[in-house]
Amino acid sequence: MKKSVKNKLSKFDKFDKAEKEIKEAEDAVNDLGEDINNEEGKKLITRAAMDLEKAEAEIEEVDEGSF
Amino acid sequence: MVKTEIRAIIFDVGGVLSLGRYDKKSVDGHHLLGIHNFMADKFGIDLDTWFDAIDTAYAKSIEGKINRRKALYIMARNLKCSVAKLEKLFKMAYGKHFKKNEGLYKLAYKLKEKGYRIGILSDQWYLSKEALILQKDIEGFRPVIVSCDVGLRKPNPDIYKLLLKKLRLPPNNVLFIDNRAWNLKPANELGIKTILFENNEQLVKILIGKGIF
Repeated sequence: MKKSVKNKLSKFDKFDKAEKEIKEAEDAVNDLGEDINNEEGKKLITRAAMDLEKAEAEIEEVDEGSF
Repeated sequence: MVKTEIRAIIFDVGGVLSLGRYDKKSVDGHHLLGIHNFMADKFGIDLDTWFDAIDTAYAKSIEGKINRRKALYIMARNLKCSVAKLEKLFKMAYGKHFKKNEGLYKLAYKLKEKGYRIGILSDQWYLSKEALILQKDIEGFRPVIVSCDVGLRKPNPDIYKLLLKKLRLPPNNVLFIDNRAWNLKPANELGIKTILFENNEQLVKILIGKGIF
């Protein structure tokens, strides 16, 4: 496989992974329900917010323009 | 003369009152991009290593659980650099990657002239707050609630309760504008009206449609 094709596939994978991570983080918070008010819920919000920020940075890194 | 039931309009900062300079919309119109890649690049490390280095201190500082000095010290130690260098790079990053949403500030002050109260509800850590929420820009905003100052972050429902307490208004008199859907859900559940921000034009249309502007 050509190197340029491999690079593009790798970028697709990274993009896909980051998008899934964003969805997982958002779903985790959306699914909290009543737990959003307790300590565990607050910890999960903190974690999910960091995961979201990281996934967004990963998507930026991939550079959509190269697709 | 205010004709609608809305009496206070509350704005988020990152992605709303302050926009990514390059406005690279990736997913869901998020604008908070650029800082982490810039910083990782400056340190010559990948994103995973960067996030490992800042993770706990950064997350805790957004919620005001550790102070500014301690947060910077922990991150600098993990990155094996001086606090001064780290602080300088962060300031450079925020300056380079964000710009004030001039049009939205103008709109907010017009709304204030029309009789609405305007305020801010934002998740920031110490350095992003210093860079993005400038006193000269927010003179007319009350309240200004920033996560690192109040020890709470969105979408924790307590921060919206704090907002209502400071406004001394019932939830249905309050409109909250944010660019992240998950920040709007708990506000909605409390009865606060919400708008998912995409851009200034979209917001103006909605405000006109609601008879607010």
